[in-house]
Amino acid sequence: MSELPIGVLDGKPNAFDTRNLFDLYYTRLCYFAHKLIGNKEASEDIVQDAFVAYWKKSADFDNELSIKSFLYLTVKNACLNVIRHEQVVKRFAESNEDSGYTEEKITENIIRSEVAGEIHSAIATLPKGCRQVLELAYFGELKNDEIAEQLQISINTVKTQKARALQLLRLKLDVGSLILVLAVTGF
Amino acid sequence: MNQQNEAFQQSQFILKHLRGELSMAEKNELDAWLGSNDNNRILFEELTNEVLLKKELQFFDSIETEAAWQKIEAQVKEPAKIVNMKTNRRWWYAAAAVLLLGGFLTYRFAFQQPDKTPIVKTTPEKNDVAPGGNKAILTLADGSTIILDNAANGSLTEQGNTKVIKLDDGQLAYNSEGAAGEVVYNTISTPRGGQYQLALADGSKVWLNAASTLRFPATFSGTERKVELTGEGYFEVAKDADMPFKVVMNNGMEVEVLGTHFNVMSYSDDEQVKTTLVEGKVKVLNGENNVMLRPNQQAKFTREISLY
Repeated sequence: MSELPIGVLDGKPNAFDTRNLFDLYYTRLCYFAHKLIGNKEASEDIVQDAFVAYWKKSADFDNELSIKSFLYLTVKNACLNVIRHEQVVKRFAESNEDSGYTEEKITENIIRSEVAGEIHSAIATLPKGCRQVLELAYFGELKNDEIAEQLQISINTVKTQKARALQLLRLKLDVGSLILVLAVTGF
Repeated sequence: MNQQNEAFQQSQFILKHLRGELSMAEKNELDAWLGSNDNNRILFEELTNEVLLKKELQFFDSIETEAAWQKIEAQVKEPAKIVNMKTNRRWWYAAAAVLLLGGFLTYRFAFQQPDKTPIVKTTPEKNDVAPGGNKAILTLADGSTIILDNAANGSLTEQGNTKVIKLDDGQLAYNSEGAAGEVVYNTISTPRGGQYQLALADGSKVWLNAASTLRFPATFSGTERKVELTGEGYFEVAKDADMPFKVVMNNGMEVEVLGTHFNVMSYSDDEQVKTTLVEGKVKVLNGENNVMLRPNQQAKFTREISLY
């Protein structure tokens, strides 16, 4: 990660630094928007705009929950605008479908984004070696010998790194996720 | 609690469940939430199902975060702010007012006796010089000097093929006649509290502020119109695309002009060189650095050029 930019909320805890907030919330907000509008590129634009809007008025916020609420609300409203626009465009083509944007669905998608986002950042903050091994095993579905070949390391190192990753993840995620990771990595 | 905060709360419960950190009370809340709605249970199962979750996590990895961050940063850190021109042109308005009064006002200045290097000095015991007054010393190519507030109006001298004319309102004009011969340089210097207006051979006008010096050719020739400035001058440059107008400051910084009105402030005791553009286009150069100004922008040079 490159060096942190100048904190926008001077004198406040680093957690509110825009870059920190971005690292924490950007991908999960993209995921959230994508769940609502189904277009990845448009989702990213919406989330970037939300961060710009936040940054410009960052002095108005004094705790992380209010920032998080603002970001989700801004993204949600922008997505609803996209959905409404699409509805107008195809008003006569199709009947209104109940697809992903009732309040209930929105709430569900916030939960989805938050949980998946936390798990993803827990994996992302693992030390590099552990993470590489874990990602190849988990996302790449590679076996230990395949990982060893790809990373040019020994099978034993693969096993050690995997064990270390799981140990670290246990601190952060524990039980459910650990089981889930074990299931996939064949530990 | 609004719906959004409730969603954050439930997310925390699910994550705590995954970490095995749920308190009894929290577990009861989560169970109540799961039991209240079938969709909640479906969602919970989806989020704790490795295959489904894995697919979702892949979306996170597909996002280019650095590029996104740079876009955001670029939008927040806007490149230029418009300066308030009033402050920057205050002296010019004052000068305009003084020009009207110029004929009535006379001040006494102790000038150093004319020699090869015309240095203007105010009387040491009189530091609080009253502002204004059309005062300047013109140094000709041969080193002779003319004190302009004393000089009579009319044709003062000829420099090559150029007539130097003193107009009655504190202005000096260079009227070029025929082809440029040898390029000769003149220098005009204003004392503290003085100022002078000058029309160069190409028709460009310069309002020289107090304690400033401009060195310029009596006639322009070659590929560019180059003048050297110390202090402050407001320029209205006559358009000539084939011969760009350049102001070179005492610190080596240059302003290249493409037909325009602008102000340059470069007093040698000032830390900064400020160039303010009123209309048209100018390019400010300092070695490798250069920046194009749009109207109402100001380039401030300290160690690097920045726009205001």
